[in-house]
Amino acid sequence: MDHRQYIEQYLSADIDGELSPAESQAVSSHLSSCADCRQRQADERAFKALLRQQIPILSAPPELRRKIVAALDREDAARVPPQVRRFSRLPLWLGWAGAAAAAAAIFVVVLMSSPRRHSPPSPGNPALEAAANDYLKAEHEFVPGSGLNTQTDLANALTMNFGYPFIWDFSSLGLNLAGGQIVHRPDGQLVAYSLYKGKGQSILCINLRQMDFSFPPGGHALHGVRFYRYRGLWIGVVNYGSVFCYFVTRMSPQQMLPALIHSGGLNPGSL
Amino acid sequence: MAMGAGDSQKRKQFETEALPHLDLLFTTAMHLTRNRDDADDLCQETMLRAYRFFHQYSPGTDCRAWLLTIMYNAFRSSYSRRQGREQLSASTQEFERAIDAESNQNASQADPQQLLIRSGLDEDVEKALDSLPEEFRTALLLVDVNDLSYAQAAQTLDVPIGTVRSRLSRARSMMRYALTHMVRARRSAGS
Repeated sequence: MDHRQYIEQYLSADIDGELSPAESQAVSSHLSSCADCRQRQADERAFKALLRQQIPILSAPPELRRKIVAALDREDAARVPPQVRRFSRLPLWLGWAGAAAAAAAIFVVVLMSSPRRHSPPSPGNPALEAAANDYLKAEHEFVPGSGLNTQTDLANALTMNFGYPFIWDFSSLGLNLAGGQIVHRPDGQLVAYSLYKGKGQSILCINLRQMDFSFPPGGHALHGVRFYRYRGLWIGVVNYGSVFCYFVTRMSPQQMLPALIHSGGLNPGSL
Repeated sequence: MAMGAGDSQKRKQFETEALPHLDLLFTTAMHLTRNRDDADDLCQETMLRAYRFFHQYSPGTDCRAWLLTIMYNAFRSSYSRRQGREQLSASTQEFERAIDAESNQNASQADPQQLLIRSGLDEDVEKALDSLPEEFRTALLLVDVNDLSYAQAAQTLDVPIGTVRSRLSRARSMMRYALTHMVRARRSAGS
């Protein structure tokens, strides 16, 4: 490791007290024999102190405080979430009519793709098992979380927790948003559920943030979605950076995929 | 519609736990957006979202880190995209090249205290901070200005801790480089 890498990896973190005991020991050992790094570490320490001194904490302007308090008053009074300016574009995004032609073309491709090429996942895969159990439970009983039963509220909550409003338009399948839940699983994992229901059909969307995720083995990839046939259900898995979306349904990939594409859901570049 | 007892308690708790962090949020928003109007909007949006979802905040945990996560997500989903990521990456590359070149000549290793004395202007530090590409500026803001741990910063930025570690180190190098050049520029202008 050259000096630049060494400084990047260790010295800066050392002055922040963010090294593990083993790393800290290794740095001490290195510094005892490296005058350059000793000097650099002293500089880093002084520079950090300088930054703390010289970047002032600004006072929020009184009018900003007044605006915030007024916004909270309105929120309390109305009990209806006011329009959030950022999502005023949401209906346009959901009505992404320009995708319709592409969706139709891809629908043909999907129909021509043989689901028989799908290879079964390992039995008892924990991620698929959890998704299937969540769906089977939601299919019978799904109570939206407090303030998560409208599209705008759910979009806001998803954006806050996952960085983007993962709302889909499955109206072409006759499915409408029934509500959402954002909960912690027993292991502390934050999970968002959005249920779309229609006549005899439903899709449960599950959002998870997983840094070390890998797709379950097997399955069949179609247009960025890896589909798994699991316990009589179809589970589509899509990756958006560190966020993973599971779409669990009894509908076939051929039915679901064009609607997903129409929603803009398979266009991560637009996120 | 009058507030119920539960709402009144929620409002009181929000005012006690969240609103006191407004100065820090405003400072962070100013450096993130580099624009007063956008900083105001970002603060309002952050506080409103936080209030609306205050039931998801666990009392006793770090409210400041929770608010900063909301702010960063709001910023990432709207403002940063507006400013253009391509431009920022080009700026990152320019910084990287310049720092490498200076490192080879040992020119950016100036004593920080000397650097400040030569600079003589506090606002140089803020200007240097605002000149950093977004991902480095944010790491520095969260750790050096907001006092978040690396783990909290990693959670806020949704990146691994190792990424925070390297971004922060590079951010400090970039700051040092930017300040050095401001001092040089002033000296050239004065001579």
